[in-house]
Amino acid sequence: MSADNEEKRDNVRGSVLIVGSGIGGIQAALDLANSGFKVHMAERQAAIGGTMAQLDKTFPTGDCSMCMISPKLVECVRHLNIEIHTLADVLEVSGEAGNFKAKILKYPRFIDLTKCVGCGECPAICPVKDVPDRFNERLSSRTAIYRDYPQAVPGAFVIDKHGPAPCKATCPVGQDVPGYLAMIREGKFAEAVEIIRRTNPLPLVCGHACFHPCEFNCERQYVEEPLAIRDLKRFAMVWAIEHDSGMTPPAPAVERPEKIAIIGSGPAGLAAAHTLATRGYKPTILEAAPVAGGMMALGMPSYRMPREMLELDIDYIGNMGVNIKTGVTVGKDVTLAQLKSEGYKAIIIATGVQQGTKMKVPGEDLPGIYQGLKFLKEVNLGHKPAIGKKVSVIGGGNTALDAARTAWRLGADVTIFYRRTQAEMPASEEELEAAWEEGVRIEYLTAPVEFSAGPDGRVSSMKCIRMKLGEPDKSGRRRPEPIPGSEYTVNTDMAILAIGLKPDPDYADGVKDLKLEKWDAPVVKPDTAETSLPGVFAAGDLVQGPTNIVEAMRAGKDVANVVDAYLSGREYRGVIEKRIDPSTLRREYFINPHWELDYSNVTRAPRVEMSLRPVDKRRGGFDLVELTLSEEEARKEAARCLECGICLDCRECIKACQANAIMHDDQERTIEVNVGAIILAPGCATYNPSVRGELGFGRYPNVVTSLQFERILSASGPFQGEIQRPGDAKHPHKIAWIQCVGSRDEHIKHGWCSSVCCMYATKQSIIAKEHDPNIEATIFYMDMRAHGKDFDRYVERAKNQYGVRYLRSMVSGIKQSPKTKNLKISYSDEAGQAKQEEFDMVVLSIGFEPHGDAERLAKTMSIDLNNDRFAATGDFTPVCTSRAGVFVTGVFQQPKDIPETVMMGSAAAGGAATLLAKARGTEVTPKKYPPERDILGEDPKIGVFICHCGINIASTVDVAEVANMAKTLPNVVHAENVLYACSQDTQEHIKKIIKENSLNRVIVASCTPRTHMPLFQETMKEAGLNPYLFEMANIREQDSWVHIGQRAIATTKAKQLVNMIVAKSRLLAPLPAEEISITNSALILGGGAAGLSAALSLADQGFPVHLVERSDLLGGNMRFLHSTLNGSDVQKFMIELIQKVNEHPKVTVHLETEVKKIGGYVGNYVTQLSDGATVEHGIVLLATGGVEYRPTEYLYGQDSRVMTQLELENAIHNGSPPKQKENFVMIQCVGSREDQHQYCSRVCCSHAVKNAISIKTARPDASVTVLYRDVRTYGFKEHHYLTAREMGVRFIHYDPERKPEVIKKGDKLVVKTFEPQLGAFIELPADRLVLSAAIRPPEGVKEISDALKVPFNEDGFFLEAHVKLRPVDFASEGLFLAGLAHAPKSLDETIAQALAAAGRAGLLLSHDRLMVSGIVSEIDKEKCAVCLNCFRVCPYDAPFINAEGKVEFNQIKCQGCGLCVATCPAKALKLRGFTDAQILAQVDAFAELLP
Amino acid sequence: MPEAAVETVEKREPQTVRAAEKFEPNIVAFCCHYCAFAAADLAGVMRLQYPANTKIIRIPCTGKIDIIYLLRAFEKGADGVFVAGCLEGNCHFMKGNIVARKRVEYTKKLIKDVGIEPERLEMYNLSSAMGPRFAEIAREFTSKIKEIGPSPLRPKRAG
Repeated sequence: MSADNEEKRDNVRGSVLIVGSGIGGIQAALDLANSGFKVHMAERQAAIGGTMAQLDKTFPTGDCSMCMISPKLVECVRHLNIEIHTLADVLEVSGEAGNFKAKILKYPRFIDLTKCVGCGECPAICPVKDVPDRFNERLSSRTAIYRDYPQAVPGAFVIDKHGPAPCKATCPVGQDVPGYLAMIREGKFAEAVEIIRRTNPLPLVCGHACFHPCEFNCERQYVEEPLAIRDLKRFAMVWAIEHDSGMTPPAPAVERPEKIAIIGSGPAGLAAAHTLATRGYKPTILEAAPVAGGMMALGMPSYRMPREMLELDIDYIGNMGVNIKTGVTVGKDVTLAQLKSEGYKAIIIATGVQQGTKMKVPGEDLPGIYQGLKFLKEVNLGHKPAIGKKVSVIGGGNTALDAARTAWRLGADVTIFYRRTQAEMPASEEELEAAWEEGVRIEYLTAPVEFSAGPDGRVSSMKCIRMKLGEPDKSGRRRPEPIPGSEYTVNTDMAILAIGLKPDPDYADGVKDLKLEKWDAPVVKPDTAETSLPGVFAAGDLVQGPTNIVEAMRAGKDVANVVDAYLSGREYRGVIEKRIDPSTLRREYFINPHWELDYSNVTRAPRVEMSLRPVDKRRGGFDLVELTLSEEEARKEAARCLECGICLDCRECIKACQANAIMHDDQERTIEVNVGAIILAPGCATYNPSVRGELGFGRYPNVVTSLQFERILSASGPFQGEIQRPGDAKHPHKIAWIQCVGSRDEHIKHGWCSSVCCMYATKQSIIAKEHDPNIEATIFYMDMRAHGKDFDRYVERAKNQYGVRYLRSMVSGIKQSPKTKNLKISYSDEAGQAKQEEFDMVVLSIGFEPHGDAERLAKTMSIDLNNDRFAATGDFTPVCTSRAGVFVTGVFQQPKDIPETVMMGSAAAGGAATLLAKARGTEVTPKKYPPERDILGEDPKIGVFICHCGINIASTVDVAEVANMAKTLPNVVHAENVLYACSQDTQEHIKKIIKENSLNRVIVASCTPRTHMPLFQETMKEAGLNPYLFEMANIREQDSWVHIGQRAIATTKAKQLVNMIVAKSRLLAPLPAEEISITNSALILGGGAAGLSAALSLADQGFPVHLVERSDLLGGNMRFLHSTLNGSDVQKFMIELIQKVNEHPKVTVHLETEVKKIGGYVGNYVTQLSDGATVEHGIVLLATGGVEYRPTEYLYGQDSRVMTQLELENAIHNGSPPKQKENFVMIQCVGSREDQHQYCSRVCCSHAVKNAISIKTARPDASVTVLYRDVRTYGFKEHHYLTAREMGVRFIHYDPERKPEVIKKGDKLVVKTFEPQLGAFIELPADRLVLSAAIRPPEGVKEISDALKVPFNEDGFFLEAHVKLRPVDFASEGLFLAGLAHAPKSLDETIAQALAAAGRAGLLLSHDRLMVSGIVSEIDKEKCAVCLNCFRVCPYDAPFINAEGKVEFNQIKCQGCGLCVATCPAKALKLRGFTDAQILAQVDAFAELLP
Repeated sequence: MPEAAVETVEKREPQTVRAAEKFEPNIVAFCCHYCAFAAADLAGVMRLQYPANTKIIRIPCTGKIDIIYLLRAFEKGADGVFVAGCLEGNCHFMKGNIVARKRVEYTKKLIKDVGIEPERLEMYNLSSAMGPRFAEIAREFTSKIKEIGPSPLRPKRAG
């Protein structure tokens, strides 16, 4: 970069941030990136394209929407200077015009964009299948891993992850509960086990004895009951044992030599050991007891915690390389210091709580009185303690319950004494219930105060006191208080105390330095679990007090992670992950949008009840009480899961993805970009009609929104293009469209007109009739707003050619017939009559509304919104927001259609380009290639790469066989298989092979050339080969994917396709990439609003401009306008604009001048002007304007009281203001929408409203009546229409068949018209009769058309290249148009279009040279007979006669369609890249390998 | 489907139909880059299954179709040939598909004169979003050619 550029960069940036990626944003991005600016594009969704991608076809041409937008999307994503940030939100913007800093938050995609090849294997395996498909407007479902639509760009998938689900968040060890539930539901039990094992070190233990906190937060409880999560885990794990699946641990990826000792083999110790073993350590567990398992082995009875299950879990951990030494008491047998000296680098103390708390009552040490845990230990170790007949258990925790039920099993009569009530009891409800069932009695609100011995010295009775509940204590439970005098005595021959536990301090013996808490637990740092001794850690119940298995496991896992970090020399503070408080999870966030928190449609399904061992079979033994679920029960129960979090984290997709693209741990991150300007193109929301209940949307399945209907029509939509009722898949015959749903409705504060609904309803009715001519289509509307170019003709065609019925009416409601699900529409017709009609299906034409984020975005950007919450712009600055340097395009500014959005996109890009003109080219990265190798005279040396595409091709096509076949083909010197042809490393490999073998042709047989050809051509260029020496065979989309399961057939076809393309490639030739130089100046024809605005914009961008105006004044129609509808001063604007243009050093104004002759082509025109000047210029911008029609009807010209709107406006401002009680009658559509002029002049309704308001403002007593056909105050103009009505302006509809009549009665003027509400003719006196006269093209259209060879439509307006996507370009490059020359439009629209044209023109002029495509027609002058057939067929005017009288082709103009080639009778033409010889070679090769 | 094709199908004797079940026709399809080829891609992305008899040759526009291509395909033994372009009125190059249709119609007459059933050649129009339609065309055309039977110009092959 030069020093000069360096300096420019300091203040003005050469880059632009575009927010939103609909068609407006895309247009702006491509314009800017193609004219030397770096573009950052931030899009909320996972793919770019916006609403247009959802549409089926577009009006009024019926073009396929996807066909139009898809190439633009691909161009965007491939563009070297467009950086796309999907799933991104702009958080913050600072700085000023020319130099902004923007913070962008990028949400995780969970899929590596650079690796995903979009093959589509992952959704096939995803178990979450009922996520409503946003793209299909919820008419179908998608998987949690998805992409919006097949052609989405970027083509990478995305995971919809809203986790954690509440069960997972609650689970201390973070089990991916929904994941394994889904696998159980699918019958994929081995996978379920795998998921359970992923985070759970003791899955069998947990499946049996976990207290399942997950179930307490299960979302299903809001439907009926939580899922039986623990029972499902047990089912899966028992299945694992029975099928020996997942019972052997995998070998760790690494091995760690560091020795680690873990003291205690309870859940904490085992979990710590497990976690460390997965990291490659081989820790040693030291256990004091003779068996491993801690409380699980010693404390819990085996009817609840079967020992064989525990042993299996412990064995598994043992098999991971963990050494468990039992019978070793640390502190007695070995000290911590000894351990350290033996080389243990880290020690984890996890000895738990062992000692029973004393009651401190007399007699509690009597024989026959046990501590609960000690009693259980005795039983569990097989020592048979003497059991009394009448046993009293004191306490209410799980130990108390376990002891009671154990004693019961051993034959005793058991009573539990608890000092509070059942509500405060810590024991689990299941335990309590089981104890009841078994016959254990429970006494609440009582406590022993003394134990007494019998004659044998053993306990024989117990004195108790009744309690009552007082104030809550620290734990939140109400404190029990003794009731004085309520003592009573109970006979008992054995008592078991289970009131609390504390640590056993043995472990501390011999280590004086270990600091202890007062309850004998070591002091630990809470964030690292490290004790006062370095390298010695402590965790579990020992530290946190008595909890439960899974909490202890969590503590063990946490400490293991700390120890791993510690031993790896990493920072170990902060390693312990913060626990999520499940109560802080936002339900609306994690819930599958299928439900929207509304479970009224969920089929109730009760929780499966686990079978229990009958009570009479329980006594005397310790067999498991709860039995395992059957397979059928388990799958049914698992299916109750509501799939919170959407992605269930089963991670099956990882297995499906051969490209290794899945990243479940992806994190959101923030980036900062530095840009010179910002363009806002975020689009809009559409109105949600369920708000208006009377239309039945959301209640009646066959009432759909227009966007839904768009998807229904789409061939790639939910019904594959079949028109169906969503309710019952029936094909509808009578369809109604209801207009203005959510538009023109002040009650819901949607006062604006959405501008597009009339047209899209017309389009949808036409397409529906094209699908099935028997469909009866009716459109219920208020005013038919077909105000765009050629729109009225489209509506007429719908009426006359397709028989669509248009019903001017007001719809009041819809009722569904319960039986047929048909819909009865109640409406009042034009005469006010109430009517009803039944339809099979109703489409609600929903309008635009600002999207939910509009206010936040406005705040971030510091821009103003208007009262309707759209971006506020000025009347003369239609793409500028209130903040300098921040531009806007599309419906975020005002509801509008696609071409206007595209136009504004180009205008905003033009605005940004003007602002940043001096930094143009400073931030783009031009690509450099090695010089092209000359292959002239070489024999073809072809390299063929056959792609596996993971398994996408290889699973169907025998790719090795195809490669072997390719090797045998003549000229093929290299053929091989590659895993992913498109991956970065394969590109490098291909380049290497090209060099090694001196290849001069390359073929890749993989996917479609439509998306991947440019990528490989790029590789060719990098390898020094001409890109046209590359070809592709599509063996994926057009072979393996459409012949699944037919390996032999698909392989044969692949061979044929490869053979055909090899045959073509032998004849490939390097095609020249020619360049032509261009003149960087512009010629603008027309000095009105469009010409002036464009001239100023281009001049400000730095390009010399010649502005040619036919008359002697600049300003055009602006000269007749005084104010805009919003009240802005047009004259002031015009004078300033003219002054700027006149004073601009880059602009040369030619007044009273016409074009004499234009010669040349894009980039190189030479024009002679009538003022004698000869101008060289690179582009022509046509802004020749339009004129107001001079009416011949309604006595215009015969009576001075009859005038046009422009004349009235002038009269009001210049000497003839409205008089008191003056009667004004306005007639609309004079010269528009009739006879040969079947077009709407677009501005007249607003003009009438504007003048009517100004009359009523000046003279409220004046009367104004507007006779109209349809009031077309689209967009925000609708507000002014309402204002006019509120001010008392009368609007009376008339039909073209019954036009108003103007009668002279004496010297009075009277207008006679039919009043539809009255059903009669009325006469209106008119002091002034105002005609809303049409806009007509000016004279001379034909001459301009001939000179520039540009087309115009039948109304005399010039025809743009494409009505949707190229609204300011002509088909021939280098020619642009703007303003009334294109079609009638308002001043702000004219300015926007002019800026757009200037932007597009500037794009072209910003280059010094133009590149010419290689695929163009070439002529053999010897063969050419100059028959001129090619002249007739060429759509681009490429052929011309050169100086020698021979036909030649302008390679700039040629677009490479080949029409001329096929037409040429002398075969003098050929299309490079698709020559006859090449195509015939393909045909011949097709025959060679026929089976 | 043109009426002539329907007639041919109905006139066939039952045994020919049975023979047709074993016969796998060879079909060449000339598809324009912007619509028909894209629709074929979409059919693939949507995993719509259709018979493998059709092999596509990509051309920039159906307007590039030369009668020679069609004739050569028959000469080399193709049992059926179809040309598929954009919807009429939506040609990426304005009117290429209209020109193509004329050429296809003309070639049908030509091949009829030399004794090849004109139904072996067809012109289709579809947009790039019509993946299902492409699959349908491939199915429809293949079964039609199966009904008609092997081309008289089919080279005799060993085995």
